[in-house]
Amino acid sequence: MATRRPSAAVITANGLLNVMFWGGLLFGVLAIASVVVGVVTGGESILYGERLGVPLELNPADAGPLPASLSFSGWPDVTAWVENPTTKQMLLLSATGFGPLALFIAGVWLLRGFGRSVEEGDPFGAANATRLRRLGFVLIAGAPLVELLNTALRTSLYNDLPSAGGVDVGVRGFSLPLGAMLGGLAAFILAQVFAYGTQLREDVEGTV
Amino acid sequence: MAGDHRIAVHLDRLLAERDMTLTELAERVDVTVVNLSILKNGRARAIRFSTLTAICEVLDCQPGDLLSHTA
Repeated sequence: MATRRPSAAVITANGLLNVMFWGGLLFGVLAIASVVVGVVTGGESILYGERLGVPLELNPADAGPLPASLSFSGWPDVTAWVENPTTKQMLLLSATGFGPLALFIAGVWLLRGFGRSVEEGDPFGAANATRLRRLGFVLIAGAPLVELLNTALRTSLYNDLPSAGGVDVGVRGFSLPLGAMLGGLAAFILAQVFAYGTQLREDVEGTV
Repeated sequence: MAGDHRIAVHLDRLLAERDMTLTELAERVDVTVVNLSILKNGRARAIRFSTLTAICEVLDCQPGDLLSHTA
């Protein structure tokens, strides 16, 4: 079906998608190995070592004075460093990374297939409409689900942390990933566009 | 016949009556042999008026000689 050379932009994009896909997979393998090592050593994982950086939020009242022209908007993000973390703490923090990584790999994998078809000059096939629908599902359903799971993990980790020594810190609550969900809606709409394009292509191919 | 239509194409008969090959017709109407073959075998979904005009001029026939509707 390909009748013309793909553009440099398409070739570059596909190259980047390949790098992102394999990079994501490799990082996933590293993350799993890190957890295994962390379990074996009782908390000292490959990725976090002897010091766990836990993302929290700080009560602005405990942040110290700012110049009159500045103020905090909400609770600013801080990192709480936990020395010699327990296995449970290491597992909870590690687990918060697996959901987003899985979504990332799934999304990039779908886009790779899509990009390959564009590079081959054959984007208007039924497979791409299916890929876009799956991407839409990953974003609309997967992203909020992962955020819900991560909220639970963050809360569990927060409850397991040692006292902050009188400083008022908290953990970020659940918030809908609206950007990802909007992207999912766009993917569903594009899927219908490509389904229509596939039909048009079939009509054109059968026209003499 | 392919697709959801009941149009029969009588290109075979017209070519035989004029002792012309598909390749010769393709060259004269400026349509590829592949596309004419698709038309001849009833696998075409649509035909452009420009193609129909060219075929009718070369074969000296009417569209109704080339196409017919089957019940």
